[in-house]
This record gives sequence, structure tokens and C-alpha cells, in this order.
Amino acid sequence: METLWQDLRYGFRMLARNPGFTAVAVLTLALGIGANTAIFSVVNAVLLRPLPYEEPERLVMVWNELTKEGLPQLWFSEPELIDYRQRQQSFEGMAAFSGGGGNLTGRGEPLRVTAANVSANFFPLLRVDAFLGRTFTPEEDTPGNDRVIVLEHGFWQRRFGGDPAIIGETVSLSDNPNTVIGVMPSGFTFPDGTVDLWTPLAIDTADPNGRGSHYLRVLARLKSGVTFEQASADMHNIAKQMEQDYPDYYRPDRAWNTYLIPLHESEVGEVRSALLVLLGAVGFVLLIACTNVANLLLARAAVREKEVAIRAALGAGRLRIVRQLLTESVLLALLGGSGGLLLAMWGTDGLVLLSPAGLPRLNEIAVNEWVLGFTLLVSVIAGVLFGLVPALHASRPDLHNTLKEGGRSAAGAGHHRLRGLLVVSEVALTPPGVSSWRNCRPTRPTFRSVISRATTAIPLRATSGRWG
Amino acid sequence: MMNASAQPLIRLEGLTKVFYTDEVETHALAGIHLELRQGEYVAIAGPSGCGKSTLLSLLGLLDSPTEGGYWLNEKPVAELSLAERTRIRNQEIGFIFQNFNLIGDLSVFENVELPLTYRGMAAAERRERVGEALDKVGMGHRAKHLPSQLSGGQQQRVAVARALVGRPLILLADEPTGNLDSKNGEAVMELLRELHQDGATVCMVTHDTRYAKHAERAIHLFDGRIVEETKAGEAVEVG
Repeated sequence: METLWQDLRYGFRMLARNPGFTAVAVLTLALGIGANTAIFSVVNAVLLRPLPYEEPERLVMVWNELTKEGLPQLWFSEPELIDYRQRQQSFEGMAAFSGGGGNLTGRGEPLRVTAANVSANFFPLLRVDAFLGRTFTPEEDTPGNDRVIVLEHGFWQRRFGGDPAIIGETVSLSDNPNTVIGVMPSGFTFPDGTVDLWTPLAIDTADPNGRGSHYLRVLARLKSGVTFEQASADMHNIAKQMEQDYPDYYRPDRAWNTYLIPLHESEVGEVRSALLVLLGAVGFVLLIACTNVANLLLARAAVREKEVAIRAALGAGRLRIVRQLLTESVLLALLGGSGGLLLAMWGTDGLVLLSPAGLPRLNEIAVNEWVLGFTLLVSVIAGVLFGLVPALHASRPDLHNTLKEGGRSAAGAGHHRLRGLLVVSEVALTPPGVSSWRNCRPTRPTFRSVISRATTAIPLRATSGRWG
Repeated sequence: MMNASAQPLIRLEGLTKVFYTDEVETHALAGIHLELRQGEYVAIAGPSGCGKSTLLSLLGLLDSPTEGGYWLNEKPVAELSLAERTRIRNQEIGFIFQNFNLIGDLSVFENVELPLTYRGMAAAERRERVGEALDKVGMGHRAKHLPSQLSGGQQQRVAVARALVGRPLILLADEPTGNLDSKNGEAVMELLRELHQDGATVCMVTHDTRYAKHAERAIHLFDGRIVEETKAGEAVEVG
């Protein structure tokens, strides 16, 4: 521990005495580590962190398919929702939602808003309560009683200045008076970040739309003790019953089936590959930065050859010298990591601003303790990575020649070969094509963009949907 | 002055060193036979390029011979591992170089402390030993200074302190006065003589016959061979 402290002290002193070298190396590393930290903060929020709901692993999206028609993702129609709700035994409940919206008037200029029409059990299934007021009652989820709205937190702040007195106030949505009954907590934007408010779905169960009008996305929560596989089998069985009960709609030659996708997979599945490719690309950027700093260290190793030789002559073993030099390089990397963290904090805000439409969980992107841990880990690994080769090279000095009066400090052939190798590595590491941030968009349309389609009756041979 | 021990501390038999650069062979040392006893003060003298420093490097385990045998404290050096050679350099040998070879970024205290640090000695004992060594060379008052803030003579005194702080079996001094004026040179020679009188074994390389006379015995090299050995007050032709 004491020797580590000595190495750290000496490392700081060496860096302070060589401000030019230190500044270039720290800046190079800060750019590499900062890019990795910024992209990791996105990967962490989008891919790695569990969804911000209670027991999110029990939440699934329910999809239909007509495999022989080439339709792998079909939404539900109202009669299908009613049938499946009655027959299923695996879920605590099945909530439905669809796209909606209209012109909002009252308190300020008229505004085009994006709404999600949701069943009354939508919020309870997600286990999310209102921040102010309440969510919908089953009574409000029926035709004629559905003139109520719940506001998204950000929209409430922007449109109503965060005024709590909005609860109970009437606003006009597409010329119909609606009472504001609640405001959801900050960060809750399900099904995606474009939602401004929620309204009741209000299906007329006594007189539902046609069976071929598929416009409902269905969310369900597994009952406690029911596995994903058991629920999938349950859905498959119901689909078979549907073929028997409604042979005109679900002809066996069209292969009607119903299946589940975990909500997390459904939310982020489409951007997973693009984000991982992007993370890999910035990983290469960091490797290039490490190669550059390794080259700088090798150049400096020639200057420090005498010092290392003195230490070796006085009894420093090779391991001791390597450890000291690695301590210095890790220290350098930690300084670079600190700079990178600052860059990432700004960069993350920029990434959110420039994010492609429809990127899920944008509001969860933040530099948090996981990102800090990642930066620390990457910094230490980078320090070892760029420090090891120069340290191993420097730890074998030619003592006799180096310690002589006017002893050579010029680098040997091996030194030049090593630097040449690093330059070649750097060229080899340059990724041929870097996936851009703007390419990380889901292939499915955003909530806002499906409003027009969602309000149109879709025949049984419907297109594949957006949300899962 | 202590009498030299009967057992040789260093024994060289047929020691040869050849340097290979590109296709050129340079015979730096050829067939060196030599014995150094504990408590002796030996000078290795000769003109520039005669192989003095190469011999000292071999004695200090800074380099390895091409041929021949080297026994240090009756142990064959050829059989030592790299780690064992490093340990011996740290614990049994003290080096004094012509160009001081102090580390510029370390203070005087830290420079002298370095061999003890590598030995894993406790901090309190290190402080005590470094203080003693610096006082012995009259540099205790400059402990916090950097080498660049000292004169050449003061830097060499610090180097001497660093060499003796570990209480080595032998002090190897390579032209210790080479970068000093005559006054500082004499002062360093006086310091070595005092250390020898206190019991240290000293082997010093010098091209200056005035300083060689400070030793009890002088080995004269020419073209990599021992050509003459003189003891205080006599001259013995070799070969």
C-alpha cells in the first residue's frame, strides 16, 4: 500500500512536470473515454436497466400473427380483446391502448396533442399511480363516460406551468369538453415519449367494432407463479379455439396464432443491434486513442530510459518498474476518464437532443452510478492497455550503456519496431464505417405517426404494427 | 584501517566481454583474473576505452560476461536468476557513477531512500538510515532539495550517501571525480577513504593516477587486459 502511494505521488509529480505531454494524453483519452461513456449511458438506460415498473419482467406485449399470410405482428380487434380477456388464465389482466389525439384548447393557444387511448386497467397493470389526482375508473372506460384526461408530467409543466389547480378543470379536446383528473409522475411516458395525455379507450363491449378492425395494442401482466412459457401456451391454445369458434375469420390455412414478447424486448429490441454497433464503434475510437497515448508513452520512455536504468541498478525488479509505470498510466487514464465524464455529461444532453425519433426510454438517459462505474472500469482498462507495452519495453533497459557518462538515450531498433507496430494497429483499428447515432431509430413508426392509422379500421390482413 | 579478509569477496577467472554491434566484434575485456577481498580499497586504472567501466559493470551485475567465471561472496554469478541479481544489486552493492545518476524528479532524501524502498524497509527505519547517510556526507541540510538545486560536488555526495545507505558489501565507484573540479574531487576521495577506514570495501575506476594512489591496490588495464598491479608503495608487472 505504501509503495502504491509512493508510485501515485511520483506519478502525479511526473505528470505535473510534463504539462504538454499530460494535456495531450488526457485530452486524447478524454475524447475516447467520453465518447464511450456517453454511448454507454444510452445503452445502460435503453438496454441494460430494467423498465421502471414494479416487477417489469412480468410485463408482456401480446401479439397476433398470420404466419402463412406473412403478417408476423398483428394488433387486436375489439372482439378479439374481449374473447382473449374472457378465456385467458395466465394474466392478472390485459390492458389495451391505441393512438389518439386532437386539438387541445383552453388555457392558452390551441395545440395539437398526441394522446394514448388506454383501458382503465392500463395504469394498474403497470403499477403506476398518478402524481396528482387519479387515473381512470372502470366506469370512465365506457362510452359516454369517457370525457376525462390524464396529463403527462412534462406536458403539464409546459402547457399548464405545473399548476396543481388544473385537476378538475375542463379543457377542450377536439371540441369536446374533458375534465383533467390526474397528472402522471415525471418520467412516465408509456407507450413512448411523444405522449402528451391519456384518455379512456372506452370500448363498447356490448357492440364492439368488427373482428377485422385491428387497432389495439395489448399489454398484460403475468400472474404470480405463471411462467412466460405457460402464458405463451395459454395464448396459443386460445388462438386454436378462435380458429374453431370463428372459422370464417381464422381459417386454418392462414395459421392464426397469438404469442408474447417481454415488454423490455418489445421496447428496445429494434434498437439493440444499432446501439451495440455504436458502442463497438466508439470502443474502436478508444482503442485508437489508447494506441496514440501508447505511442506518446513510448516516445517518453526513450527520455526516461536513464531514470528506469538507475532504478533497476538500485534494485528495482522488472515487476516493480512495470508496476510503477502502469500506476502512472492508470493515473493518466483516470485523469482522462474524469475529463471524459465531463464531456459525456454534456454529450449525453446533446445525444438526447439529437436522438432519432422513436428511440425508447430517452427520458431515462443519464450519467448515473452505473455510468460512473463504467467510466472508472474503462479508464483503468485503458490505462493498463496503453501503459503495458511501453512499461514492459521500458522495464528492460541496457544498464551498462544507459548508465555510462553520456549514455545513449536514443531508442533502439526494437523501440522503433514497436512504435511502427502501434501505428499499423491504429490504422487497422479504424472502423470501416461507423454507425451513426441518428441511425439508431426503430424501424417501427412512432406513436405520434401512427395516430392516423390507428384511428382507421384495419382489415384482418392488416399491416404489422409499431409497438410491442 | 581494517585489514582485508583472507576470503575473496570477488573472484574473476578468465573474464571476457565482447560487444557485438552489427557485424563488428569489440573485445572490451580479455581473460581478466582478479580477486578483491573484503575491506580492500582497489582502484582500476587505465586510459579511456581500456575496459575499466565495462569491468565495473560486470562486477556490479549491470552486465554479463561473454566468457569466464565470476564469484561474488563465493557464489557463481552465472547461476543467479534475474531476480537474485536485482536483489544483490540492491543489498550487497553500492554504486557511485561519474555523472551522479540521481533522479531529477526526486528530492535528495527520496534519491537516497530509493534502495531502501526497493528493499521493502519500513518507513521509520528508512528515515533514520537516510538521515544518517546524509549526515555522513554532510548533506543532511539539503534533504528536501532537488538535485538540480545542488552543485556537482554536492550531487556526488548525495550519490555516495545513496550508495552507502543500504550498508552494502562493496562500493563500486565509476570515475567518481570525473565531473568534479579538483577541490570537490579531493573531497569525494576523502569521503571514500573515510568510508574505507570505517570498513567499507571500495572498488573505484579512475583514469587519473593521482586518485588511484588513494587506493591500497591499483589494477592497471590496457586494451581489456590487466597489465600492471601496484600496491601502495610498489609496482608489480603482470603478464
